[in-house]
Amino acid sequence: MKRGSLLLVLVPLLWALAVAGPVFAGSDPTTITVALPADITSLDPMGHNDIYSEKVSFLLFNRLFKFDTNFKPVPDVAKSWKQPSPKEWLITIQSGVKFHDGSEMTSADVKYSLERSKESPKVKHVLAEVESVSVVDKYTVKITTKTPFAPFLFTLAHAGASIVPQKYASSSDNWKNPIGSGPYTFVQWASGDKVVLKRNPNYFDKTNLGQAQTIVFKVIPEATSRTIALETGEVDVVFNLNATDVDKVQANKNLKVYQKPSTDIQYLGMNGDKAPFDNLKVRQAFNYAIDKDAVLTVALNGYGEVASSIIPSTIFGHKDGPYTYDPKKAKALLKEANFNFNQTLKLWASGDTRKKIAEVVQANLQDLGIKADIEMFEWGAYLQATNSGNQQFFLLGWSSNPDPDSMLTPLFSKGSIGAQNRTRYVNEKVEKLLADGRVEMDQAKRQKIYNDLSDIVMADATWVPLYTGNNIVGANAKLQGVELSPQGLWNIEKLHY
Amino acid sequence: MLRQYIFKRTVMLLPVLLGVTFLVFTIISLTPGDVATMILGQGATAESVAKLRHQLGLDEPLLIQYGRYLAHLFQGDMGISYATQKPVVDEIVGRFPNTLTLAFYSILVSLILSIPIGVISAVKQYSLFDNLGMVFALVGISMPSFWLGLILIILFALNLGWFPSGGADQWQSIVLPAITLGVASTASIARTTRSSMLEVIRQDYIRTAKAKGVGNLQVILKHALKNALIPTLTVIGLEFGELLGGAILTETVFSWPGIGRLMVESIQRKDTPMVLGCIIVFSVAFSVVNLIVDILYALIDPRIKANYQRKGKAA
Repeated sequence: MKRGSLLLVLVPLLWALAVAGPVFAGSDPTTITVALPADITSLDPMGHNDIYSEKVSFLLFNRLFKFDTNFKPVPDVAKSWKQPSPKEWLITIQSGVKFHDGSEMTSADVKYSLERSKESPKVKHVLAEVESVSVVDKYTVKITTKTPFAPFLFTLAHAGASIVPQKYASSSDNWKNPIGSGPYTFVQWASGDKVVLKRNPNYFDKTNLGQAQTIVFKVIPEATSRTIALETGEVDVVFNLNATDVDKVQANKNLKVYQKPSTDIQYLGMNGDKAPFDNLKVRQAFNYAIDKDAVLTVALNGYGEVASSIIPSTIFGHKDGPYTYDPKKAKALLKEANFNFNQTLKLWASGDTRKKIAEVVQANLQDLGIKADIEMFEWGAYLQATNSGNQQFFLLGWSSNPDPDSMLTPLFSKGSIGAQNRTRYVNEKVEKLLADGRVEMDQAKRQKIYNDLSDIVMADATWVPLYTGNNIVGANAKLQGVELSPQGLWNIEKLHY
Repeated sequence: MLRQYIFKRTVMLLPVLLGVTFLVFTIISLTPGDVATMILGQGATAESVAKLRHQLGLDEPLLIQYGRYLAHLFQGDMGISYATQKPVVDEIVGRFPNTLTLAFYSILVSLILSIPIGVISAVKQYSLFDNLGMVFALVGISMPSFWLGLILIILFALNLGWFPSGGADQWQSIVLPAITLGVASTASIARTTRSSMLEVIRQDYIRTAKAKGVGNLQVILKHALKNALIPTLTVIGLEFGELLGGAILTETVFSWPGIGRLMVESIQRKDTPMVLGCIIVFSVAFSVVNLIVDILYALIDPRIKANYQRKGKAA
């Protein structure tokens, strides 16, 4: 009797659940849900410097310039611009650009925002070259740079150079309900869970209006869970799809994988101040010794491209370097350098992927009779330790904006020793080329400058450039408007069913 | 009396909090890595790192930093998160209800499974049910939660589509994480219930009750279980207290926005104010749960209540 009544309850319940089926799958075509591997850190466009917060900022705010699919700066709210002198930029914004509170964007907001950006600890490096900003008229500002600065428009396309309404930004709301001018307005940020944005029907740029009514950024920290959420239809797009999940997603006819090489570069850095890397021949030998294809396979299942020089192929100024995988050549160079095979080198790394890469490097070196111990660090400690100068050789990466100056100056100028120049590389010719590249406005001449610079640094062999990974995005096959730039999925406002 | 006891316990919480915060403060400060470098990222200049260190007061001696933290804490200010620049209190207030909900439903799942298993296993000692129940409990405690979580997701979210695979948007979201955590705490509660039941059902008064002709079910539920519940309640309290500290792996697998994930992310970012905030909430929650358990003893067992009252009179 009792067993019977239990069944009476259980059977309909299970049946209801089974019939209800996957009610969670892609139920609302007007809402696009994007999976993020980590939560955003701030809604203030000048209060963060991470890529996920940037994605949200790009939908809430406008900048003077933005990047197109080819990662070139094109006008955002800027209408016209000219350079009266090499250090001066007159930029006029479009009239009638409305913030989400209905007020109009003026040059006073632009001046306020750029000056605010220069004061923000997190993004002050973006506009470090700006000397002053002044208001010319209601829609025009004059920006003066410290020196003539060729990549200036690129810096204005950074999220840290977003235009915020002065009235709101100086209020006491503390960015709880941010007001911008972008194609989406803010609805909610549930910390650790999701960010919800709503379409802005009054967006000034009618050709780039938001397509979906609602965009939800859902935080799913576990890579496998992100893929499963894509498979169940709970999310429509996944950034940074796990390389090991690509085949599975590709095999699913309801899903689609998009890939494009990023602007990242991963490298093996050699400290020129420390033996044995104070010897050029040893550094060159290491450039012949590492099997980069194997590195790419263990790191990303092969989804990327092997790096042949310091500037990734996706960045202006790229030129192939002279080294290929050739252990025999490496051995000959080591012999010429009188390399001491009795010593044990210390290879530093941080994180799971770099641990795997370090093991490949270790095995490659072992083949040549070189002993190397791997020492792993926690990320914060790693950044500090590799700044200290005690490193022998180490694994690290750099994610760049499309102008080469933004990566080459920090990574190879002597002024960055103790910070980003972790190989402690110094070459006066490189210093001069870096300075020339920053002021040269002629793109063809700039191209030559960076090609020459790349040749010199590669000949000095301070890095073994390893690979540039792909941006891998998984999406519902029916989702329209998915387009990747070297920045990854860049036009979230265009996504729709 | 009871009120005095509660007051005493609350006052005792203060030195605990002082000790815990000092310990955590020191440990985070001693771990390698610089907070300012981590906040500003790889692209930061040495100058801006130094400036930020100064702004955050990190260039001052540890004791002064800690003293300043305490001074603010006593005014109810837990500080601003290094990573998000948001008040720590806001962040915790946003996350703690999620942790509380998950802990509640997990313990509910656990109780639904463990008490019947424990009781029946004791009553039918060495039977097939007893052995199966104890094997289930053993498997439950041995299974890594992230593995069980993923299996449940694959089965019930991906293949059957009954529940969402993660998040905290709808009531169905709680089911899979609550089962994952509930199964893990089932083992200890079931085993404790079983052993204390075994002890109780051999007591004279149980035999007397049976001799008086009281029904079997009534003897077990009314006479035996009530007395056997004291040790079980302790274990439930401990399990619940632990769950309130957040279940990091389960929260990660199910993208559950709880306090455990917040704490781990904050530790990774060396976000000292946020870590301390989480630790304080965890310590207070754990102590409060234990206090509630102590009070429940008195409600369940009149002897303990009498003990409280005697102490109250003596004082």
